[in-house]
Amino acid sequence: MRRQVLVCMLIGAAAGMIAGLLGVGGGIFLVPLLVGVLGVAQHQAHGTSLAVIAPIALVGAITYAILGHMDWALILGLALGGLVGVVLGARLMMRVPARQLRWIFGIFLVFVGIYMIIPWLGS
Amino acid sequence: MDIAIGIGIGLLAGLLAGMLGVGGGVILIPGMVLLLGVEQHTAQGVSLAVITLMALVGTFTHYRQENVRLRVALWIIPAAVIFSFLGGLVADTIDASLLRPIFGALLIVTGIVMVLGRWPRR
Repeated sequence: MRRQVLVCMLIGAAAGMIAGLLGVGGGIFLVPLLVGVLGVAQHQAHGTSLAVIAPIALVGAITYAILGHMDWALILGLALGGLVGVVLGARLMMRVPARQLRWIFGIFLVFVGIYMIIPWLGS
Repeated sequence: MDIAIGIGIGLLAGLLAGMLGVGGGVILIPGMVLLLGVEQHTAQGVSLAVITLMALVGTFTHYRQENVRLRVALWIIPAAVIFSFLGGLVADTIDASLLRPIFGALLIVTGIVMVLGRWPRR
């Protein structure tokens, strides 16, 4: 029980650091950790990770805004698309082949990542 | 025009987040930086704001279906928000020209976890 709490705190610290430093939610690491390390049931992993991400992202967004790294007008369009997309995506969830989608998405991310590193290597 | 591209980026990020349960920020940030020319720090700040909204809606939906382990979430959140704040302070001290390749490295790791990670079956 006590070990479980410590593990939760460590996972929280790591997820929070990645989110604050790099501006992402961190679900990519949270979901596998919740299932693999904390033994959260698979059907509860997404919901639990979102419940953690909401306050992480909120505190991160406020921190960035205070430090002057915010563009309020930009949020509107992205949030509009994002909220429509989330609702649609959640409905499609059962019908898409998740494994294949993750492969395509994962390989795409590796290429974008390399593309973002290349200019720095040349400088 | 930028608004239309913004909506498109948001839509793609939301779709993937909705379908896979992960992957909002890794689409939002490169989308803003590479397609809209937004500065890296600002893109990260905006990403966190958009993720806040999407995560709140997602949490509410899953909570109604009783798919949130509240105690586990409550144990994780305190340390998580402290380090999210600290992470933001650290990012502020890093030049955009360095923060961008660090973010690129996160994308590569994320891509690998996406393919090889242990994901919920359904």
